Amino acid sequence: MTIRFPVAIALALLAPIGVATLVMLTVAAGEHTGATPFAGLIPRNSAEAAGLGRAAELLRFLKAGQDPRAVYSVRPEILSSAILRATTVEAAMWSRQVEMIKLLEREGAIDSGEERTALACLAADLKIDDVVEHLAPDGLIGCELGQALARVTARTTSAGSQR
Amino acid sequence: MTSVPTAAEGAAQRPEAIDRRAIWLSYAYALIAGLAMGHFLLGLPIQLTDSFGNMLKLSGSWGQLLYGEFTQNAYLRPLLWAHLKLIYDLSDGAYFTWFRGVHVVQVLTLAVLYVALVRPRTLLDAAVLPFGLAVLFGMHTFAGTIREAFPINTFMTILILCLAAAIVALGPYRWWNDIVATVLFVVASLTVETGLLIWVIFAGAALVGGRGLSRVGLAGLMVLLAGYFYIRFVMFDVGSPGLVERSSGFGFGVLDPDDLVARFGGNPIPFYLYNIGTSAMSVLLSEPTAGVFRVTAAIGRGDVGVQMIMNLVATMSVTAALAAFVWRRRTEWFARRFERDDRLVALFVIVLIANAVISYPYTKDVIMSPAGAFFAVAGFVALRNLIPALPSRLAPETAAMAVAAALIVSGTWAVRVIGTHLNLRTGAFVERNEWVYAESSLADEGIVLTDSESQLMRQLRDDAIFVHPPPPPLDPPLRALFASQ
Repeated sequence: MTIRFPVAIALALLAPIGVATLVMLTVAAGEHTGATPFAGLIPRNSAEAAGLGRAAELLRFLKAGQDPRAVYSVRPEILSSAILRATTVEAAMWSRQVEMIKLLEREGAIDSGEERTALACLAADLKIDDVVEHLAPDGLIGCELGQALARVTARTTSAGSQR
Repeated sequence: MTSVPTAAEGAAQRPEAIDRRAIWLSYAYALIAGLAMGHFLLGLPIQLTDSFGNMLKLSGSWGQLLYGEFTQNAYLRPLLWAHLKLIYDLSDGAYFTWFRGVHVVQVLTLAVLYVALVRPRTLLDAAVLPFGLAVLFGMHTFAGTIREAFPINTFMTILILCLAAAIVALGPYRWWNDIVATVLFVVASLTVETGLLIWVIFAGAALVGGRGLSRVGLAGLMVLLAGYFYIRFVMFDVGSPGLVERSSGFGFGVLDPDDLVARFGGNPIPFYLYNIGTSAMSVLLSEPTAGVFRVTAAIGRGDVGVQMIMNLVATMSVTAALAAFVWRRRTEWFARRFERDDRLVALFVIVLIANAVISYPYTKDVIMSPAGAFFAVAGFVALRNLIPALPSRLAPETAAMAVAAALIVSGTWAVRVIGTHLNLRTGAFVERNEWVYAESSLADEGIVLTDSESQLMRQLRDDAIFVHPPPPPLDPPLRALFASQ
């Protein structure tokens, strides 16, 4: 069977757009039925939401009762392949958004004592200047370069060795 | 049964026979494409920016609201507010459902009106229709009609009214057409300034042989247009936007109001001419966009992105099809022997010019959305006339190259349409993040809300974050291609 040239052109114009429509329909239909075709990273806990910088999802996890100070498993593609366990406030550092830190502060996840200093040290290790300035406006006290980051990384290492 | 004209019969001689399957398929496809977009639209929450402030204003009385709109400076948009207020009152507090629902209904209406205007008659028409709808939904001028809401997108309202006006203007005369035309003009012109295009559409359609309106109806519209200018400039002295109203693209960047005044304060005419020229170019070439020559600048820097090239190829291919259509029909056009498809293409040219003129104060892609929609109409019309006129047989190599070119062009529009959907999904996250930080942002700016204002803010914030959580982020293959669509 031979296809007439005008018909071939019409089909060529139809095909890519037809595929695009089909893809969008698949996504829409999939999401209505609970599937997530072509979905990117969907955070599984508040630490992952914080690490990805997804403030709205972070609030949803906190409202659902997750503890911002508890240690959660974090997938390697979210923070780093070396950091697979972190608290929500620690993970928030990797979003590199000072607003995220302030949000956690407003949610009562960061107190003013030792915890704040430790987080400021972590921010310094990650070279997030505006977060350092926010957490330690009077300057960093008692930070040793790399120590805070090593502490967070060690949590992953120890969890791995326990396994 | 399908009847396709031969090349000898020439373009725009539409076949008499109508294949009802083509009509059903076309409407079904339009609704499916509209529903898919509707799904993505429902992922957006009511915006903080542009919507929250407006909704606070809507809590006042009808009288206050409308009086204020007739007596303000620069803009005359009372029915924009009436439209918002009506939905606000009807919603009875279910803001997300009503405002987002209206937006979805608007998209579906637009898609259906598009099909009604272009009237697909053959299966070949039906096969090309998705391309036309892709141009409609994929144009950069369309993006602003769905990505934003105030909390209803008034530009989308104007698009719907424009297509409805074209259907009436080019259809057969019925006694009630004059009344419909009057209502369309009054509603559109008092909604937003581009609504004046309704008059252009009726007058332009009559100029090219459209007989939808009687002479009395056309005269009535003329009187209404004069009345609009009288009300705006004499009775209420609303005036028009000056250079200080907002930023605008110029050359390779965006000028702030202060820069605009410094540069064109003495004589704004060159700036206005620039806006008119670049607005028209933006529809025909996708360059510049919003008055800024981004692609040209990128060429100068030597970092032209694939997306930029795809946008140019997509838009210019449709423009080339339009040019080919006009060239083939030049004899008939000079003799003023217009068929319906000629009228649709001519109407696009008229709307493009008028829309660009209305855009004189500042450039913004969405202001050109009516011209963009008629570009999609004219593009479809040009293709459905050009394709049957192609030779039935070609040398295999030539045919393969032509089919490959058609695939590439269609592929660029497919990418643009997917980009439109992905842009809505990106917006779903951006808007929700704005709500998360809403209260602290207001506090930082020293804005104090009353109790009722705080209550509305909390409701909209909870709606956005907890009641209607963000849909999953999308990370399709070749994501980079869609990034700047």
